[in-house]
Amino acid sequence: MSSPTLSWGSVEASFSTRRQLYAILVGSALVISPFLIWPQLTKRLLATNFLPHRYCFLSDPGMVWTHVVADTLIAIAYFAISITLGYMVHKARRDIPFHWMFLAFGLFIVACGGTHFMEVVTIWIPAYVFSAAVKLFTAVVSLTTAAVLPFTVPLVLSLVQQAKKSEQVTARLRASEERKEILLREVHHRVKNNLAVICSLFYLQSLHSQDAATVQVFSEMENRVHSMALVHESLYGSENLARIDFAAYAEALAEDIFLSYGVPSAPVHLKADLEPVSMSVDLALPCGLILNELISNSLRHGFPNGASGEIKLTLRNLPEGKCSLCVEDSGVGIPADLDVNTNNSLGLRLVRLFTQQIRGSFELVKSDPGTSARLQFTVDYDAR
Amino acid sequence: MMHADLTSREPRALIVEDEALIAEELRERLLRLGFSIIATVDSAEEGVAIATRERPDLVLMDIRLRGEKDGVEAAREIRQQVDVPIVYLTAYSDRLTVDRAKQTEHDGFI
Repeated sequence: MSSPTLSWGSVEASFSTRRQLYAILVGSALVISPFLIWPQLTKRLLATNFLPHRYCFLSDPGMVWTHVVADTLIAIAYFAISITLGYMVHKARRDIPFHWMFLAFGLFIVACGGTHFMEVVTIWIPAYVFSAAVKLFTAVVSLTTAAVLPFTVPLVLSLVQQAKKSEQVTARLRASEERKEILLREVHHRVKNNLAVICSLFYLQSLHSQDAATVQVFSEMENRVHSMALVHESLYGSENLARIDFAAYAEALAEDIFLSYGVPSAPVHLKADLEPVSMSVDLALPCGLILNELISNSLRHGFPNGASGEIKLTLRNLPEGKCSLCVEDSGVGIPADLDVNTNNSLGLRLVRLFTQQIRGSFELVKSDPGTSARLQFTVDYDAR
Repeated sequence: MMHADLTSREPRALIVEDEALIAEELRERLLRLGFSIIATVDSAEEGVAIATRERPDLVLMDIRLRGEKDGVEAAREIRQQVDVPIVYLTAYSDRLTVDRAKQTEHDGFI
């Protein structure tokens, strides 16, 4: 069904350009043929056997020059206007409706400019026949434009109305977009608030326990939930509601974990070297939870008996949309027999599970001194 | 009538937070840090009233609160009347709020 329509369209298009060609040919023929039929016409048209116009002004310089200057300026202005119109139509002929109307205006204005130009010429050279011809041409063009213009009025009015309507639709769309954004921010704020309430619950419950191990369990759970709350908090604060700046998040999270372990009074320093990495929520949540486990592990096991040292946090953009997140400590190092893949502590299990979820790779190696944990993953993995 | 014990050297804190459990956690943490708590309130109006009357040594201020006014406005009103350190209870917030908060000469964010 579509192919006949297409071919009809192309026939129409070629017909319209061919019609333009015919119009130009016919027009030129109409202009040239009188000269061929009547050889005297050129001579007659350029006849100057009259009195130059300045004699009508009695050659008064004030009169003559006022006319000359005024007519010249008018002619220049008219030509300039038509050049602009012509240029505009040429540049945007596909987007300007009724571009032929603009061309008609242009031609009409050029013709008007021509009559003023002839007014200047005839002050000195009495080419009144040619001047009359220019005026006649102007009359025909003006009349044609004037006659056609009223028929375009309803079309132009409907176009104006359409433009107004589409403007209203755009405004309405923008308003609904803004409403949606406010709503989404509100949702992230609520989620963060609820997670913060859970953190408070863990803390308050821990106050009722005398047992140090139980208190630690609650504190660990509080940190885990806090790492999630922080994702939502940085989301509703960010300009882009879908992604967060993981570098800022990681630094804030690390500082909070340090505080929860009683550092900075303990002599372990945090050193952060983080490149900006933008992440979706789906990626930031597991990454945040992994980071929480790694930093907590270092603080809990790396520096026994108040040993001093440093924990270094590194975030790097790698080629092919990958990214590496390292937590290196200068502590005592992991036991020689610790196997990341089989160790049954909840912390390492969480790291394994989340690494699997984000299709990443993880290694924990003994460095000199201390331990270095490296996580590598693709940032745009969320094409699930 | 001031009811605070004038011989006491304990620093006194006011908590303005509309989430009861979070307010309770803050209260417990501040008590453990040696503060006495004047009150925990959940609206800007109450916060302003108590802060200007009691002149606490510290005000913990949440930004989103119950009622018309938010924490930034409350902080501004308190600052206009008394010189009290005010700390906002948020790590990140939207840029507009942070800019507004900065204009009110806060003493820090938690």
